[in-house]
Amino acid sequence: MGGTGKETAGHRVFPEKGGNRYRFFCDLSGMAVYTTPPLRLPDGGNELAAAWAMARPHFNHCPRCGRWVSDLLFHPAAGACVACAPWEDPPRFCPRCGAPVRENEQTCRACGMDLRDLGGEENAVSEIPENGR
Amino acid sequence: MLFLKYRKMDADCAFGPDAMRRVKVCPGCGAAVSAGKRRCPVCGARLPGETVYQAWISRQPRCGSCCAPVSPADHYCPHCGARLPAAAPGEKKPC
Repeated sequence: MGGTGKETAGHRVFPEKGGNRYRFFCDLSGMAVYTTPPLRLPDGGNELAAAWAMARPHFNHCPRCGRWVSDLLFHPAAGACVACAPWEDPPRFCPRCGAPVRENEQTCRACGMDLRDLGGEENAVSEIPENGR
Repeated sequence: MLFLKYRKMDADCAFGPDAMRRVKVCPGCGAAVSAGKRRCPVCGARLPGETVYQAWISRQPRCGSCCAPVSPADHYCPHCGARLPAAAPGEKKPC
């Protein structure tokens, strides 16, 4: 599971006759992202771990803040949630040192900061990469 | 049936600001609902007026000069170059 932050997204348990359903929510928006089928593990196995194994592919982990977020609140070009990598225009100034940034520049000429992960809709890819999950 | 609806909505999810403007989240059950709806089609709860984008932007740190959303880690606004003040707990957002 993720090395930063919580081990699973926020969740609620819905007991049913056939077992417990687990519903996992986006940590930023509160959106229900995945609901498991009823689970009942023999010998008191770790039900939450089994449920999370099913839900995990539907979430994106932000390596900066540790949140588990839905695709909607994940910036795939930056590999981070939109709280850590806000969506808007491409940067015109380096956010670390304030130096002006030329169009399509990938690193800041003043401080060397990598500018590729700062977002901007132009930087977004059209599909979620497999390793973005 | 209710859970099948969740799976369908998950498959429909996209990303980016335009997609965030098209969706609301039901405060009752967490369902992703089209921004035009007033009631949740899953649980019937009244939906908030704000979309996912509006909810996100209202919580995001903003540049005091140009109001662009910025990352908590930024020292300068990437959009206008203004120096960003260190975040103070409970500080009122200028935008």
